[in-house]
Amino acid sequence: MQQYLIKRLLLAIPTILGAVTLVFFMMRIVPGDPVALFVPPDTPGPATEELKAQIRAQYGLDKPLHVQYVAFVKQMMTGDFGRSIRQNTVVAQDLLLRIPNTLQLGVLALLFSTVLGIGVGVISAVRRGSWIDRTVMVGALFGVSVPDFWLALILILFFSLNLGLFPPSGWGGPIYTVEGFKHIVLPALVLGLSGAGSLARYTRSSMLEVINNDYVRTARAKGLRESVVILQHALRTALPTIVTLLGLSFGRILSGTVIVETVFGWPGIGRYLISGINGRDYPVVQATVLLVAISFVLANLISDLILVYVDPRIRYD
Amino acid sequence: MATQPVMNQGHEQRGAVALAGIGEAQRTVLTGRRRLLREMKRNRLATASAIYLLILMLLAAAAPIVAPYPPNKQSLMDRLEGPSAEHWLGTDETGRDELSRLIYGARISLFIGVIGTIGGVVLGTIIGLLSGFFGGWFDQIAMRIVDIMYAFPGILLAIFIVAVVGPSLLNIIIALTVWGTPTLSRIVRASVLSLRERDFVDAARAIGATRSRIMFRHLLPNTAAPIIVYSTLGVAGSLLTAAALGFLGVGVQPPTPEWGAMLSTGRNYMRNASHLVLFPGLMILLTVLALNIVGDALRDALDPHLN
Repeated sequence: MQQYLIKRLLLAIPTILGAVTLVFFMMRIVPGDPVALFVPPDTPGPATEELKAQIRAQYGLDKPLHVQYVAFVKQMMTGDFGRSIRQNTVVAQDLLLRIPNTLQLGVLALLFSTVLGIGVGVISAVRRGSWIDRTVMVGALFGVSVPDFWLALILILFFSLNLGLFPPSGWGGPIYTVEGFKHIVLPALVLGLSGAGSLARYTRSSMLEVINNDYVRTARAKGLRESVVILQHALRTALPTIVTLLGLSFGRILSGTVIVETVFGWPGIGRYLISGINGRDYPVVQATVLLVAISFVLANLISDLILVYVDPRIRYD
Repeated sequence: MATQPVMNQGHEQRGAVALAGIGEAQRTVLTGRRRLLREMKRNRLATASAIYLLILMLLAAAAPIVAPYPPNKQSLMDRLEGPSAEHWLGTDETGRDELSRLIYGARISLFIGVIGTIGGVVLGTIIGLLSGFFGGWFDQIAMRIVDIMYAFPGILLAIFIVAVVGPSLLNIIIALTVWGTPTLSRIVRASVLSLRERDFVDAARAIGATRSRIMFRHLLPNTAAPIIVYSTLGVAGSLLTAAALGFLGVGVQPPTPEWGAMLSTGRNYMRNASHLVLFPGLMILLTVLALNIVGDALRDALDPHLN
């Protein structure tokens, strides 16, 4: 088991380094002068050349590529993401302010997605072929097909503008307050519903693989309650696949925050990324993209470590 | 065969086994076609979805004839009107006919979805074939690059590419190609790894087939099933991603009608003109749903092991 853990850790490091390298080269393969990416678009013409020289020196863009790369990796690893071109604020501090908001949204969405997705997936598998199964699968297919951004707008239209139950956008304070909770419900619902559909389909599939096995039949023959048979015997065996899917769900939720935070005006890193793109604020863009990529790699690492705990076969390999 | 000289009989047999590999692929395609037709007859939802997609493609192709108005014809007197006899799905913020823009938008969305997927399929298949067949350092490097690309979840990589190189139709297609390549390369590689030890590959090698012939004439046809399935599902994914890029303002730029971009603009007028949000989103949902249903049916028909 220790060997497996060490192997996974060692695999994560080059993947993170690879992501940093990809971002580095992407910013430099742009046709034309990469310095132009860092010049505010509303800079007057004569000032542009002087500003370009300043930026070249500031970001080391006048140095050889390999020197730039080493400096870039060092900066990214130490959290020195530079300053926002638009707001002249320290990008790392901006991100630190926004990460908790995205985390709250992401965790709530993941919780919702997990409970709903796994729950209906198990029910669907147990009642295979029934109207419940068919309804759940059609619902899951809708969940997988519906665009996040459209679902968000429809929920705002119905629950906020028509019924006035929830605010249409913004952050209402900490999640444990009434206003704070009301503001997070709709965005978490949108994020969670999309992931739930996919999770339901895969859970059903995994459960169907195990539900007809001999040991499940034996458990029933022993006279155990159906809930015990399903939850302790069948679901337990399907759990490794589900844990892997949860890791992927986290990634889907992370990338989904880009859209959902934009629609709901939620002050998280997804909205920060889009504002950076629209404002051509490339220090913001590269820092946010890297942060999300690294978070995803770490989330998959954690899900693999949980997998080791859940699946004894990996422990004893 | 008995009348052939003895030294040629082994060659004949190896040739027969090699041809059997091609034959097996052809038989798989034929059997797959029969299974597909049977599946479509059984699965009425898949049949209806396929018909919907066909109608949509025909409408998109015949847009200049079918659309009641030109897509960019403005009429400020008629702006933000709801559905009416003159404008069946209402008008937008500059008085443009929503139905016409949706029909023309189908062209853009389907074009981006299909071409973006084809790019990913072609590149992914080549990488997967080479990786699976040759193995070694090429495989290691290719799969490490795929792992790195997988580090960027969902549409993040596509957003980043378009953000850096700029939002044009070509750049969106490039972004979708890059986004779709890792999945196909892994699928094809896995398929090739399981096929390359089969007898028909050995036989082809033994009768002197070149490596490229083995890859493209023997291995590739036998990996067709998963490629077809994931291509269909890939078009759904590409269409959704392109619409998301359009919605975020980094996709197709106005005044070109694209469903995601139309939704993004419509959002500003949601309170008084909800039809601007309802109809583009419904088009995206129905099209992606139809593609997913057809993709699932193809998977059930062509390769149940993929389910």
